Amino acid sequence: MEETVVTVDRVVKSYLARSKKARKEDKVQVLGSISFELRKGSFTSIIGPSGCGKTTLLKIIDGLVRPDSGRVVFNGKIVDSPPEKMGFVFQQFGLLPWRSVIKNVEFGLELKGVDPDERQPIAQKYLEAVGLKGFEHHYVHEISSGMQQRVGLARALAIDPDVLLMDEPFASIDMQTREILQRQLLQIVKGEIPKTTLFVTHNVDEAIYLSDEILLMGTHPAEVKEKIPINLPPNRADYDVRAHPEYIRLRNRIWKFLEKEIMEKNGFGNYGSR
Amino acid sequence: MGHDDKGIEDQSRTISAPNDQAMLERQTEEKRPAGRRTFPNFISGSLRARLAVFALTFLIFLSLWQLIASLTNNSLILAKPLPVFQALVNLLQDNVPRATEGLQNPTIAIVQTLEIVFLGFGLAAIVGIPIGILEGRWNFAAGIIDPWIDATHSIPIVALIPTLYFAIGGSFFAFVFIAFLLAVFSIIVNTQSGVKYSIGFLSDVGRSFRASELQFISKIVLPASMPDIITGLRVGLGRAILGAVLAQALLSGNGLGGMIVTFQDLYATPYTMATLLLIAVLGILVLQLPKQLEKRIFKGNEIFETL
Amino acid sequence: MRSGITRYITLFGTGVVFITAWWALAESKHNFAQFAGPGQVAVALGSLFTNSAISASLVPALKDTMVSIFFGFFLAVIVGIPIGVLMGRYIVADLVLDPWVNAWYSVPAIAFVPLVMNWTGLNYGGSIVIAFLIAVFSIILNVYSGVKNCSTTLLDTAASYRASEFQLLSKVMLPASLPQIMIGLRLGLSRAIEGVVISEMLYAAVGLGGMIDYSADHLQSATSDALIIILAIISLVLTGCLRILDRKMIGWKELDAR
Repeated sequence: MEETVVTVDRVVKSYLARSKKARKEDKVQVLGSISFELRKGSFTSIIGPSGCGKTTLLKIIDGLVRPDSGRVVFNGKIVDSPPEKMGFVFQQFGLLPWRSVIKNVEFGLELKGVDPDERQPIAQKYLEAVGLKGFEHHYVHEISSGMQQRVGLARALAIDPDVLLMDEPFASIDMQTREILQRQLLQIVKGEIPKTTLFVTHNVDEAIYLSDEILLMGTHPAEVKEKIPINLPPNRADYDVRAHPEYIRLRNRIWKFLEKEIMEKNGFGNYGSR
Repeated sequence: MGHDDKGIEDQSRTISAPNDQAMLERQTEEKRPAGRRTFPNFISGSLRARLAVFALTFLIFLSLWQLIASLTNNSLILAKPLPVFQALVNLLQDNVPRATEGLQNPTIAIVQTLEIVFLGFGLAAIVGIPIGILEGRWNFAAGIIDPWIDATHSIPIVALIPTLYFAIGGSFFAFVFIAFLLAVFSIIVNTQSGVKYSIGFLSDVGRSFRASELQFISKIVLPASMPDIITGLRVGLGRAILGAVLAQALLSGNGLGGMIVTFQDLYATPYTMATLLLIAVLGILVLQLPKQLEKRIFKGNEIFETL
Repeated sequence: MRSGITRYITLFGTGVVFITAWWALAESKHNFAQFAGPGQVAVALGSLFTNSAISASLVPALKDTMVSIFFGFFLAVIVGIPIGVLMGRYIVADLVLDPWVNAWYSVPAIAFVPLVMNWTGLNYGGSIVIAFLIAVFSIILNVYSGVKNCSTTLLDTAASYRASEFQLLSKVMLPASLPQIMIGLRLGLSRAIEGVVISEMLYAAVGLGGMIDYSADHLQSATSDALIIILAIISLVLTGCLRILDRKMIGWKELDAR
């Protein structure tokens, strides 16, 4: 049994939302008592309809947001500010446009106070690991969105985190590039540079393809409704996993769960459900 | 350590001012309307084309001027281009109409005005940018300072010139202060707007990589807000010119402002217009030249627009 | 932070600090007799209204200033918005007018004043022209920006429903650009007011600016300050009205909520 690296313990979060009609602020409960654990080396995905608080949860785990109650424990310590050994990959990339690619990857190291002579080769190594060798001195707007996110990934990996948090990282990228990026991600975090990964997405296929375990989140308030272990063979990059019968079964199960939530959220009621 | 050099060295590239709809309340007096121009390339691309457009515009302007001046046929109201340029040349050679001999030399007047402008502007930048950053970064500070900014925004500051004269006199530094006052608010508001905007996007990035406050401001916020800060500086410089010249015209007979009044009183219209032309050109240079330069240095950066 | 109440408290608090500082400054300048403290200004303010000799000249001055502001701004709006739309929509207009608009916009207000005043004489007509000149380019540029940034998706949608040019402008482009147009209007109003004040002060003949300059020349600093306060109040009210209008019209855009 691998060790537990991160424990999320009954995390609750509400936000004050201003409703224009009501003209006063109302508490909207975004997360209702979330609990789960991450085991070392595992790849866990959180799936749920858009806007159910997945991003908020991820930010709480990274210490970017404080929960109302409950706590996150990482490597034995309670998280109340971004821990040094957690890396975060943003949906909108969050790259600094005035810096070259290599300087973006160096960013975390630079902030830690690492010498320029030391950090350059480190950044170079991770840049190559994501397959961007040769693009060191390009600028962000000169490369495609798929490449930009790979820079974001390299940046997060460069600080050698124990845990990698990824917030719908491929959502802004076109489908075709996305599939290739998924494969590459697996090859990295399950291969050359093993990491414990927590991956947020609303894309079912992506989640099943990548994960060892999937947490299904509902909405209003968001809770972990189910934890589904993914028992597909490893090395998923090497075979046509999507044709695997288990894959199909999982997909149906997850989609059924989601469908209900999404239909309600979009005001469909019972319209068109199977 | 050499971190900071390496970190900021690349900021000479690529940021275009975001069109900041979310900052409606904070839009400053003359925040450059940031538009995404979709010009066909041959127009916006070449320097030659731009110069040609500029030259053409100037020629049209001169012709219209000549035309209108001939039509009105009253050289006291509107002098023709040629006399005005002659007067301009005279002024630059310190060759003044006899009636004004004994007053300040034009070249000295110009220099003095420029001194006031740049000192006032310089102070406004030194004071205004930090305040703008403060306001953009900490809501608490913004809460205190903003009402003042709003208030001064709604009142024409130029109306305060007589009061200021009574308060601080008409010395050189009084003029500098007036120029400062007019410039500083534009700088503060634009800086604040840029800072707030970039913090909105990049604050999570900075925090997740555990940037210290100093690192956050210097490595993330400042480079990201550069376009807006520069806009504020441009506008501020223009306002400083206005302040300096206006104060001179109202309070003393010196400098460019004083020259306007002097020549006006003598109905020496070509000379008045020559002085006005100088001021106008100064204003245009200050506000437009950096914009053209900026277009060349900062090529559009789509990243900010997709965020 | 409850922004509404806190703002007022801060404003009030800093206002108190300001007035105290002002009073202290005036007290310390006993030998510099011209500088008026809050008390004297209040008295002067009162006498402006009560003393019939003075108030006789106050009313026409107020009228001159208000008329100048209104007409100057109004003209700037009805000229500025169409030109801005034209420039934003038609590249030819943009190419032709852009250097002009930017150049005229960059000229410091004071450069316009002597010429215009020479032409119109020393009455409020000149102030109207100057207010117009200074405000209109600001409005044009902001309208231009709003129109140009109108999402092409919206335009394509209208086109796919076969909207005529006029329908496209009136039903899609103008409403979509409204936030930026409102910004332009607010800036234009500030500039118009400033233009009026500048021209009135420089020529000391009409309006509140003229009265301010006149009393300043005669070293009646308390009166001059009092007049400035009146001017400030008018200015605040006008810009406040525009701000309310702004808020009412832009419900659908997210305003920066603090």
